[in-house]
Amino acid sequence: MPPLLRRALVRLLEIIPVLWVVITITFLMARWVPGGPFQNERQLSPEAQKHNMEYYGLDKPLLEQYKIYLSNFLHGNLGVLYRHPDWTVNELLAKKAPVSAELGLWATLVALVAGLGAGIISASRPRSKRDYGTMGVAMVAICLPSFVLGPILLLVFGLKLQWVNVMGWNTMGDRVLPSLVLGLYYAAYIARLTRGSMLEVRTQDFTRTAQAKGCSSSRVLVVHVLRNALGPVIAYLAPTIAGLVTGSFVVESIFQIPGIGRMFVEAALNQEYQLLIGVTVLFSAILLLCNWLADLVITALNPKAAVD
Amino acid sequence: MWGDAWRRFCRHKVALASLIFLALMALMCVTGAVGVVLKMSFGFGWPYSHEEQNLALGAKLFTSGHWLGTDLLGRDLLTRLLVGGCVSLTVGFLATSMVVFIGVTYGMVAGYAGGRVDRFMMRIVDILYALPFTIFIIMLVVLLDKPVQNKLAEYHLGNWGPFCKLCLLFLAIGAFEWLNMARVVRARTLELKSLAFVEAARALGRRPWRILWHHLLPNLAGIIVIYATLSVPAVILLESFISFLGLGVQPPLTSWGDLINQGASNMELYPWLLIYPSVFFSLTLFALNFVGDGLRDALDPRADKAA
Repeated sequence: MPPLLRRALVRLLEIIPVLWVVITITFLMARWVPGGPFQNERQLSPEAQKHNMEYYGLDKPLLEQYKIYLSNFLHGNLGVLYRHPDWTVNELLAKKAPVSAELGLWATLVALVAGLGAGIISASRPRSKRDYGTMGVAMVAICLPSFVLGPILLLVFGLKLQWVNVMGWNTMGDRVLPSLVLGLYYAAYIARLTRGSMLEVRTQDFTRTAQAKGCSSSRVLVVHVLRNALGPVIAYLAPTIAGLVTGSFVVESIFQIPGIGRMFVEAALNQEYQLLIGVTVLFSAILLLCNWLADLVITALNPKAAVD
Repeated sequence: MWGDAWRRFCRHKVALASLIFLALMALMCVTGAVGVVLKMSFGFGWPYSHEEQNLALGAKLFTSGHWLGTDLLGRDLLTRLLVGGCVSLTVGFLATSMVVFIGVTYGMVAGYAGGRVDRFMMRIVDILYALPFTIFIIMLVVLLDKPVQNKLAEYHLGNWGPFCKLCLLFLAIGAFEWLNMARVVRARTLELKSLAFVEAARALGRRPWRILWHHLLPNLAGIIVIYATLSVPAVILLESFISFLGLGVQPPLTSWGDLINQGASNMELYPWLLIYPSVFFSLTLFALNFVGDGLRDALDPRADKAA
């Protein structure tokens, strides 16, 4: 088997035990805490609460509940919602995940295009006005987290200028501000990373060789420098996706987008265990897969990195 | 080493200005918070407290006595900003000290032990790295809150509730943020371990803990300071993020994230409630990042300046 394929398979198999650990930790964290999803409902008499707990098997010993949950999970059944019994977790995730995924994809696009673009612009002429200007903007973007930028942009473009809708997720126009707000921080970080990495590659001998043999400067920049400078950027993509996933909690709540993020917060507050575990496992799985992909791309680009 | 570093740091004008700004901000916040505590317990020291309401006044942009205006309940915004700042900065520094403690210990032990122990310990870090730990922090804070409050109420300590919530917040953040520190410290420990002075100490029969403490730690101080400084803004960001979602600090106590959240929900009619906290918060974050960059340039001239 070629070493790259072997590495890919081994790394993919390693994800399974990690996911199992995630399920176990989340389950223990959620179920160890006293109380339950019905405790906050004042209308329910203690008898009704007890009946509900029995009905959903929440009164069984912890180990037994864990076994039941795992076996359901392996059969692809993520459980039910205690407070909205006509919904299952599977249905809810299937309905809301696409919205979050779309938001995440747009934001990733913003982060990559704006970040790489700005990085190339500043690295093409280091220590020029252009460079300092771009990096200054990037620094500002890093210090303006989504929960500051989001409401302010909404105030200006939504309420004062009325260019976009204040909330909702219906038209293409509704996608602009949320994706921008979510992606900008990562765009700024990627810009700084690209610039630093490109400047480092520029000092290496092969760049000078390319220049000496008469490549145009833009060709040197893109083919020789950028390609070799991409490693750190790709390695950063996995944490970017992680940040986008959790960042979407805030953006979804600012722009009232019906995605998973808002649901997760409510699930935690209401002790909807099965939803909580479902969302956590979904996020972890996405993240682990992204890490796996990033590792693969880095190894393919630079086989030397696989050795250490 | 420190004298040189300080000179190099001072040459970085923006970083120096940021440091002065941060010192002033911290001083203001602490003064405000101490004033409010005095006011609440003895009735003097500060004109307002962060929870003193004046419903007749309502939300005003600027009135005599309220320089930064008041919020919907007529509470003085400047006082709330200072108290909130104190909370945010305190969480930032306490969580960072936890990050330093766990990260440095873990990284040094892994790096110095080497071999299988090192590989095992770093594999755990890799795995934790790949998890969405913000989610775990939120879960920890939200799920543990109720039992902790119940326990407190059992012992008639109910009014310590908000304080305990704060502790929970920084413990949870500290428990997950140390990974980067551990990685950096381990890498540098590996480098240092092979140097002659460590070999010499080992040949003299020094115990491993003494070598770690006396020989390695002083040489690690530079990067520890750099990464600690860089993790303060990250931690403050995380705290504000959680408070913005309404899961962190509970009213009437407040933090910058919480103030931004309240401002955002009333921004249509009272935009200053959003703008003042945002300005305070962003400027502080800006300054913290610049100080971190400046320290990195000063203490570790050969470090990669990209990230």
